[in-house]
Amino acid sequence: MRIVAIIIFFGSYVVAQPGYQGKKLAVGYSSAVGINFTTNTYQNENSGFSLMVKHVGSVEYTVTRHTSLGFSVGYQRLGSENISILENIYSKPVYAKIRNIQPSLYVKFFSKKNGNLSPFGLYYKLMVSQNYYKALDSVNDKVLAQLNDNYGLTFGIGKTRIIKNAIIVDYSLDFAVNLGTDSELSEEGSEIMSAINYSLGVNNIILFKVGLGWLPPIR
Amino acid sequence: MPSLKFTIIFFVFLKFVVLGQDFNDYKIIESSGEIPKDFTMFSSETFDLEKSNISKEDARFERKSKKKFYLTTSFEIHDWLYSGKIIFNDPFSSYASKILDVILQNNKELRSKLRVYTIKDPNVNAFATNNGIILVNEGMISQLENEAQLAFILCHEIAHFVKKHVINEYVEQQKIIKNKSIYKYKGNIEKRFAINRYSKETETEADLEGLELYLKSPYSIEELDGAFDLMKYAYLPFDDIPFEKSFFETSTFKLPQRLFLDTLNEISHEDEEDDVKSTHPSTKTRRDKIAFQLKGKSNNSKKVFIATTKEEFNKIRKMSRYEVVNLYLDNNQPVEAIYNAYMLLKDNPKSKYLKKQIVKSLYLISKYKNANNENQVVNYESTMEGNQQQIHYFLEKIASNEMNALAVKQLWRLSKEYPNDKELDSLKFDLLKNLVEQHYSSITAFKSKLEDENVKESTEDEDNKREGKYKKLKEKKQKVEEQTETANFEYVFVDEMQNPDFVNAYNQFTKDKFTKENVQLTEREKMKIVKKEIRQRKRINRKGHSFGIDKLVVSNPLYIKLDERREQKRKYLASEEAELKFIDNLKLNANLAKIDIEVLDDLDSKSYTSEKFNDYCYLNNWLDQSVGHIDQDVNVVNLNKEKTDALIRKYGTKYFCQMGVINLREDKDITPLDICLVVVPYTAPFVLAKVLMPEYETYFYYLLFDLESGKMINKKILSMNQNDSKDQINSLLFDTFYQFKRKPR
Repeated sequence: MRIVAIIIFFGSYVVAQPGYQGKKLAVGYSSAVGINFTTNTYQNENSGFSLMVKHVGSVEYTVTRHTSLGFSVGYQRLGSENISILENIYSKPVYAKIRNIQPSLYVKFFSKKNGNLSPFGLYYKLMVSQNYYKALDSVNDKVLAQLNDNYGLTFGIGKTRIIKNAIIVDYSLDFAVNLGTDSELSEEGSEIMSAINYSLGVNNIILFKVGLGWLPPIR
Repeated sequence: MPSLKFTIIFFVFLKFVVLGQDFNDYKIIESSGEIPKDFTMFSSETFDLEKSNISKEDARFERKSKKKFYLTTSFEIHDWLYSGKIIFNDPFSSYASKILDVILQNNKELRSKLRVYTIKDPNVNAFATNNGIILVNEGMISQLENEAQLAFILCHEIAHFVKKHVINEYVEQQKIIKNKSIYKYKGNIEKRFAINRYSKETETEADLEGLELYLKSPYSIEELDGAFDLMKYAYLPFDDIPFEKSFFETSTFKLPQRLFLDTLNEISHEDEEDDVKSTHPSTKTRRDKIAFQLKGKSNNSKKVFIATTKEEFNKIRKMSRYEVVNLYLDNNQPVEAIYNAYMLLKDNPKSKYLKKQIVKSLYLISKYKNANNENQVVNYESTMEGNQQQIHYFLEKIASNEMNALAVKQLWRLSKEYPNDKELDSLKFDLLKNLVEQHYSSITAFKSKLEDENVKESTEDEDNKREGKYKKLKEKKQKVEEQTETANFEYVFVDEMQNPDFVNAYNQFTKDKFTKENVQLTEREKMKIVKKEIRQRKRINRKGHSFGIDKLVVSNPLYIKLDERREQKRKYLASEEAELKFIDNLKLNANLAKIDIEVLDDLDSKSYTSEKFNDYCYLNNWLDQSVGHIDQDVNVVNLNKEKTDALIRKYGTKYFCQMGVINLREDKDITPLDICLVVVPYTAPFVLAKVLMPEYETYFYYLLFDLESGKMINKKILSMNQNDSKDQINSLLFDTFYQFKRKPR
């Protein structure tokens, strides 16, 4: 909440901007859907083709005519590739089941063409995220790792529409890169971490996001 | 009974107000009383009502054509009624209505179907619509010789209505254009002639049917021939009086003869006989046909004036002539305005209204000449006929510097006569500034007294001894003529130079000009100014404008939906629906942006009073004229300051705005390459998307005016390559009002 308060304060202090009919604050929920590129999903081993869903809650504030600042929290469950070190221990294929909470800060730049004005219209998004994840082994749910030193960078292109002057429909295509971790790890740890990083990276590489939001009548 | 008493008092009062015009301080005629239903009905309502007239027995093509006709005319007539050019319950339409009562005294049913309105147009014309509206131009009233002539013209229009000529002509034209019925396999030229022939047939029929109606009325048949003269000489002004150059001259200033023609073209009195390429029969043909019908008819107990007396008629016609002067000025035809005012001044030399119209016209001509855009206001042609040719020639030939000086002189002269007139003040200072900045930077370019006076001063006593008074005056006159002929306008301000206000104003403008020119800026200061401008531009790009407007009048908001693919491009019904929603959104967003807004729109007119209707018309005309001047790069001050100041006081704001959206569905070009690429699997989705996805272009615009200064403060035309949507329009509207409201730093 402190971040939201800072964003609101920052926004109103720097420049008073129109927003949509004077409404500058938006809260929303979106589902980002992507293809599971790893062999396993959180729930299934060797799942074949499957989709992954990331749930994202966000709060966003219009700071200039064409810019919004936002804070979001995403939650996703992923599976990793099989981890050979653990296979030797359990004598069967083992992978990491990852639960990831992803707080992010983002900025949306609304296109100056076609009369787009924040928070309405075509936009480009730049987002930095930190991954708070917990990885369990797929055999007996033993915690393999629980870290928060993994970062991601996302570029998105999307469009927002506004229904009934209050509900935001937001759809976008997000491209993300995982910046990995800077922690020093053991050989065993390194393989687990590589599998986790790989999963976090590859499964978020391209996501199609559809969201619904609300513009509270705060002007 | 009290209501009857009130009605009588009201009409007596109305008559007094309307016909009791003070021609010295003439007031432009506006609509009054209750707004007729034609003005308050939505076009879609009119369309629903009218399309019920389509008979199911008609052929399919005819039914379709008629539906299209009703749709188009319902909307076009509504647009017209709200163009600001049409007035109701005015002396002209009331007079024409009275004549209709006389003509149709035995046909009450037909009379009840007809309404007359006046068009503020200086041209000689009248016409009827399919739904019984008869429109009479003020220009036509101004050229009438008597009431009987107007009665015949109205009979002609009634015949058009009774015979349903307008719709029948449209259906016939559609048949011709679309090669239906007998027009199959006809060439373009044959089709063109067929359209003209049909039109001529309806005109002839209207003449004959109209005559039948006229003969049943108590109007004199002897005046009919004059009605055709009215049509024949419609291109001429209401009179033909020689224009004397002395009109602009004083005892100290004479205009050079080189600016005037020695001989003028005579007015042609020949009737044109060849009407093959025309939509109307020639006047001769019409005159002959009517004359044939009138053979043996007697004029017993027939009268020329019935609805009113000759004196009242003359007064109404005089008003229309005063109106025409203003209409010419409004239409950017100042030369015509000057000539008409000049002729009217002969009868009423004290009319402030006419004198002001003349100086306003001179002001306008000078402004356009200074902007090298004189073709927009002066249009002399060597084929012109009659005395009007002289003034057209003079104002065409006079150079921009001379014109500027002459206009300044006339403005200052009139301002001296009416020292409290603020309108004249703004014009005279503006034009004097132009004279200094563009032509003569110093007052020394002009002589302050006549040369012979200098001589006179030095040798006065000797002269007095030597020569008699009359001989001296004669010589002085001769010298003035010689000097002004050769010296070209050097003496134009001899009288004005005696006025310290004029001299001071001139010197002040000179000083301002040199101060501006002599300000020596260092490179650093210049860079600073440039940087400041760039910063300001960037700031506006980033944050938008800040005007600090608390109250705004939005006049005539528009929402037009077009479809380029269809024959009928304008989607009338959808446009009306969208405009209604747009007005609601306009009010909503202005309210949210905390800007007090008043919308003047035709679709809001059910709650209008005639006063509000007049404001709407005036504002639209004013905005159109202003935009016209801006389009031509001519910076004109407010020509009707008195009226606009009254509007500012009435609405409590000087900010007026026009706003709208135009949405266009574009026609797609499918190229042979697209057809080839659609069969290639890799390119097929893209080509299909291109072919199937509709293409739109949407424009959002506003023009913001400061009515006090008469200037456009800001304009925006935003083009968007997408369909219109409610959220986008709301977003733009709020942003616009937000910028209007935001206080500048």
